[in-house]
Amino acid sequence: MLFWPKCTLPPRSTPANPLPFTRGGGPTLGGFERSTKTDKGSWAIELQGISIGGLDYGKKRTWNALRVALGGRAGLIVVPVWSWDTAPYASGKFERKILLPHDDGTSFDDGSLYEQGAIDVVMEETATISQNVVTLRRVKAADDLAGIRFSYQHALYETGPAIDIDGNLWTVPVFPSIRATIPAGAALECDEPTCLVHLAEDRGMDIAQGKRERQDVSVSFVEAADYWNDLAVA
Amino acid sequence: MAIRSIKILFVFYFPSKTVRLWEGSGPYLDLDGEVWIGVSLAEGGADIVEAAINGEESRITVGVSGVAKALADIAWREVEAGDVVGSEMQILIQDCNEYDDPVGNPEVRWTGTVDNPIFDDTASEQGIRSLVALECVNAFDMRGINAEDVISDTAQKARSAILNPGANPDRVCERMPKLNDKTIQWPRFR
Repeated sequence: MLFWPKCTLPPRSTPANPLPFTRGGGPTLGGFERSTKTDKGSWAIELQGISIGGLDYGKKRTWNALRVALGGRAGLIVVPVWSWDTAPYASGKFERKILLPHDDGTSFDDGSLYEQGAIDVVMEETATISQNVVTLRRVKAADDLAGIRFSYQHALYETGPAIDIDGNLWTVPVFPSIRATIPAGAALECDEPTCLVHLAEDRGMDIAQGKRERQDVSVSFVEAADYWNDLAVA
Repeated sequence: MAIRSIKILFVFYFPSKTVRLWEGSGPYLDLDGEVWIGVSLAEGGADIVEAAINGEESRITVGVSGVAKALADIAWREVEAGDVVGSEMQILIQDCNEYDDPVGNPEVRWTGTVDNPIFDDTASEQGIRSLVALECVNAFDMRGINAEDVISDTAQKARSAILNPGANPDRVCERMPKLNDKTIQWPRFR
């Protein structure tokens, strides 16, 4: 699976917004319109303000390699959906991921350490495909789990207003409907949620080549709902 | 609370497999444990389906996009096997509560049989659009024949085979070809 190189090509902002599915019969003469929802919808994600070019050729090469690997709209990629501003940090402000060595103070061969998110939220009850209300257990997180984002196996979710709060258990509606089963006790990624996406258009990664100046580019993605469909019937 | 959220479901009973589709994005697991694949109706498809639900339209085209794996493969394979035509299909509506969870059983709004599968490729500036559509008809399709239409012998025999499968073919139009070049004149009275 392809991952967006978040250290080489970091976006300045990542607007991830829901695309709701509603339908209506058009406005009446009085200007009212009755709409009906036929699905919760899916995600539209944009990586904005990615700085490439200048004399840093590596970034442009990474960009080129990415679009070769993607091959247009059909390609799948996991993008980071950075949402520090809504992440439920226990301290109320940004916290780094927790990095730990072995108990004798040594690291792995390549120098990496054990990594754990600063936020710890787990799924209390198994959430099945297309479930719309889930129960979350707050282990180490802020005292409010409404309006946060989390991902599980690169499916991105956002929580709605709480339906029921029982101690550390939060029952909340989610957007979108659960894409793939989340077992009870599964740790949810709240620090750096991710989303599996397609390019929104075939030529979404066009850039100016042979240009010396630094340039800021943006790229649009849509959630790869077809992947979850195929997974569900497989 | 009034229903403000519904799901539109399509089910195709092909001989080898039942294909369940719904108008949405991701997969949908219903109360019976069946998985429905989220598809988007192709442009124009939704209007025609709405008319079909009201019983106005006897022939509908369910055009779906983004369903390559689910419907295209099956439809193509079944076309080759020759048994896609005549498979039963239904359109159902599932009412949902305020959290979009299904409430009760879905209601069948339209039942018909697959009449003709269509595979269509269109090139545009955005890319190539591949459409897989199934033309479906219900019992009201017979109503569509106009009074002044020419009925051929083959058409009439095909109709009689559907309307009355057990009986011998309807021979009422057998002499039609012979009458083709005849001119009927009023007798001249003096």
